[in-house]
Amino acid sequence: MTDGQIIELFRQRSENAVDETEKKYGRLFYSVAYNIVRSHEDAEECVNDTLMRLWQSIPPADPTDLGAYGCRIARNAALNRVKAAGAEKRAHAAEITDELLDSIPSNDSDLGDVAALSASITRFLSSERPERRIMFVRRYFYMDKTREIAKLLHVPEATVRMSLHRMKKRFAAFLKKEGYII
Amino acid sequence: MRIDFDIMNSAMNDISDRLITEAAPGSGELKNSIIRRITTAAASFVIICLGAIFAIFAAGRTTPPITPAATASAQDGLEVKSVRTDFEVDGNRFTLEYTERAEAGNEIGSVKIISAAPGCEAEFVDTAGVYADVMMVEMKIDGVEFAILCNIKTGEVNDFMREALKTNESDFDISEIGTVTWRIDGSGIVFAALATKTNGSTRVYSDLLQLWAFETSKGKLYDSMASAFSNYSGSNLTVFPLDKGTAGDPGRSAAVIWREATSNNDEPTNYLAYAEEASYAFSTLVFETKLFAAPPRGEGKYATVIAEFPGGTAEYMAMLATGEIMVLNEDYEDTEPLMPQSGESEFKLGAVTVTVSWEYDETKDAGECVTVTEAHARGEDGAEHEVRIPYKTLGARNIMLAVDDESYVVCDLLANEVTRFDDFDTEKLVPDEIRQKIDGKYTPKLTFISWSGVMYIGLEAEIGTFDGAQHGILCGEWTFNSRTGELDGGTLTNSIESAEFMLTTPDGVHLIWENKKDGIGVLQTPEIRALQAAGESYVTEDEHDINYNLFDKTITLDDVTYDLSHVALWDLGEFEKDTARFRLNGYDATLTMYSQNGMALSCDSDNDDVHVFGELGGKNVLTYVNGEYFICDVGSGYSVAGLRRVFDELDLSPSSCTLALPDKWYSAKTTAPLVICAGNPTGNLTDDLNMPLMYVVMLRHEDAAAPGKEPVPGEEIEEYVPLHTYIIEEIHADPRYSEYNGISYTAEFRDNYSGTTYVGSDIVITVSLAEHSADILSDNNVTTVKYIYTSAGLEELDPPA
Repeated sequence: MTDGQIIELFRQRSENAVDETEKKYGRLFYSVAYNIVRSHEDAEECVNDTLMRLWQSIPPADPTDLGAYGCRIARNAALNRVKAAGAEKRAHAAEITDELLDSIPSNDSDLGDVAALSASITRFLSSERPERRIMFVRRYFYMDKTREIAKLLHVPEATVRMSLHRMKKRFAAFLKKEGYII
Repeated sequence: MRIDFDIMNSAMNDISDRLITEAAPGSGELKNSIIRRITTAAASFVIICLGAIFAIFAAGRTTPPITPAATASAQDGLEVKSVRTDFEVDGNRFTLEYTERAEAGNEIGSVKIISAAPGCEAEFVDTAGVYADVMMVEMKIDGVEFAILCNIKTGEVNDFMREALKTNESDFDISEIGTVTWRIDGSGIVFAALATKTNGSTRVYSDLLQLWAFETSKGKLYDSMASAFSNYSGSNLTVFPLDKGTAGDPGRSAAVIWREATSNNDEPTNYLAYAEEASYAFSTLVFETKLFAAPPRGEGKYATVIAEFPGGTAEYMAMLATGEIMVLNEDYEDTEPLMPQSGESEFKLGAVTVTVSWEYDETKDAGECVTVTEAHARGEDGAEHEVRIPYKTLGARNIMLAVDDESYVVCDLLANEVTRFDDFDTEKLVPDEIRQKIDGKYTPKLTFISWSGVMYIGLEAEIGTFDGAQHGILCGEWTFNSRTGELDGGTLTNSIESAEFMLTTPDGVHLIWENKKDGIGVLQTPEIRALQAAGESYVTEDEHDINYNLFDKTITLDDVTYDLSHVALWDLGEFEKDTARFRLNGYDATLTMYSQNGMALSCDSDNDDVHVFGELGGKNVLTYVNGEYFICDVGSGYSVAGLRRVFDELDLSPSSCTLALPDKWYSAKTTAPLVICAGNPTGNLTDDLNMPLMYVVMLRHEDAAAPGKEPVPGEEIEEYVPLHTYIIEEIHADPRYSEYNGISYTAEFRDNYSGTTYVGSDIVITVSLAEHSADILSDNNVTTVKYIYTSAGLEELDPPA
């Protein structure tokens, strides 16, 4: 079933919309959540939360890419879950986020809004080669371990680490150019 | 305002849909990225060779071009070019459409057959790369198959291969071309490699490598090369030229790289073959990662075979057209000149000048190739100073030394440059977790594992002296560019799960061993290696008798045993030692198994005639006794006999199988289900050409004299025979992920109905064995598991809707 057909089911308030979404994207949402919460039960809960949020938000929301839209919700649900939990649960997400933050030498900035920063990140990633872009998104959006990225992309783990490291340097330079870093 | 955790994650959450989708598992973009990575390099050759290709078209038997129709459009911000070209072969016309999308400097090409004349079947086989105008198309006209080269831009066709391959028709099936690449240079030499695969009702693929060289201008086939290469089986086959060639000096060499098909548990061996016209040479490469082609550099001077060096650094090896080795950086740029065989370097360390004489042996591995033959340090007043060189090489060109009591510095032997670590705040690099556990008893200092140029630096913390030996842990890792002096960020995140312990004996011998956890938390048997003794010649493992006993937490170096229990900084889990006595095929043996967290670490037999062939799940081991195979449960003392018959009937080699039994299989009394994973030849989860088979074999105790007799621990059962054998197709089970008891496989397999490939943890196939039944379960009904076996029998699953 296409995204459009599923969204139409949401609009008609047909509960099949949830079933079809789960069938099509359930595993993806689960993997997004699991990468953050690192617990089967919590990840399942996040998937359920995601489906509920989709049900609540569509309509009026009309996502052009249901998978990406749901991934965001699943990711947010997972991040909220680990934030509410102890440090141990939070460690993986914090570690990966810190890794990105640490690449920014001084980030006292005139931040503006988050949407603008997000747009900047999108612009930065669009300028990168696809495989590096995927590495970056797998690491900092999907929060994969570098070993998992290496396996996914058929490259040595060292290459992933090195590529990410260099991308972070370019990312910092880009943020500086865009005025986020003083 | 600072960009913090919440802001950064919120911002990442709102990146564009396209970025999220293209990195999602199973996305076309992700696959393209992988494919692009492999093919982009090879494609570059095609650009260079294109002129030559046209020359060959002129030289070969070509069909006049038919004007192609080209269109271009913009779609989703991507430039899309589509070219439809009519071709004609033997009067049969067919149309190919070549589509190229340009995205951020990368072109993605695809080809499809639009139309063909009646009786003419055409199937796209391969291009020489995404930039190529020339592609190989497999044709079938009047039932006769052959391959031709088509120029998508000009409509030219060259079918010289048809003639050439006819001479060798009986040796291969053209329809089974697995990997084809070719190069046509000024001399008209074409190298083509074909991986034929054994076909049949099952989906076991056994790749057979064959390489041909064609001299197109003469229609000559060098089939001697084919016979030589056919002795090697493998996959991931790639052929590419090594030298560009010119009109006056045509290139005539190619390299072939492939991986050997191996049994499940072995790392595949990479092979490199160098082919020059009809001659060839082989090399065995020990690199851990796959080989791939890189763009040519230096006007064809540099070779295109690159491979990651052992040690995980981001450097690559290139083989020059001349056969020499060169080091490339991550961008495949050559970094350094080749090292001379010997040299003398001079370094200024304050007021002291250090002179080092060294020799370089390129045949040795990185870390062993430099030998310091002499080192002197003199002050400005001419006074001698003490030089300490703990490690004589840090790769190919760097050594570490210290003068008097000063800190160690890294010296670049070629550039005569010195790098100090004075500015390093090593204190900050010690993780809190380690800092707390070692109770502050540490002195951070630098040590290293490196390769030329970019180096890996480890942080060593001494954590005390026990038994007269110093124990340490390498708890940090980061990279350092010795040429620029640039220090890259450190990676401490893996330090707990994958740390290296160090022990320095009173004799000054450094031992490093590694405790690492894999992705499913199974602690692997430590890898132990000896580093060099301070100030002495390099010590290898061969020179010392090193034994590590994980159960006792001791390490024995030669005759001295050191207690390592002090340095167990994290919980290594539960260790168990089980012993059971068996009578197998008339031989008595006591098997002793060490296991950790339920995972067998090792199993020893006290009878040399009873060989422990391999560990199965739980405490089960496969043993070989006088021509027969047995499964012995060291935990309970029960054994299963008669497995040779199973292997014979399934035509399987035990060495290429992974077997699993339910934990308490003996409760099955007269029958026991045995799961046999027949193996993935490459051990590569993602290679769908190498699908393993999984069998569930119900073994039945065939003791006619005592039907239904329950097994007795330690008592040999006459024979178990295969009662039913069920073949489970299309499960990509990787035995490396098999778990104790659950016998669950994290698998990759393709959903043939939706075309989706599920990878890794997306799908878990669980083979749960209980009592008399073996159930093949899946947590997702969209699978290609064709059968489900329950106590009610084998049922074929309905295709998902």
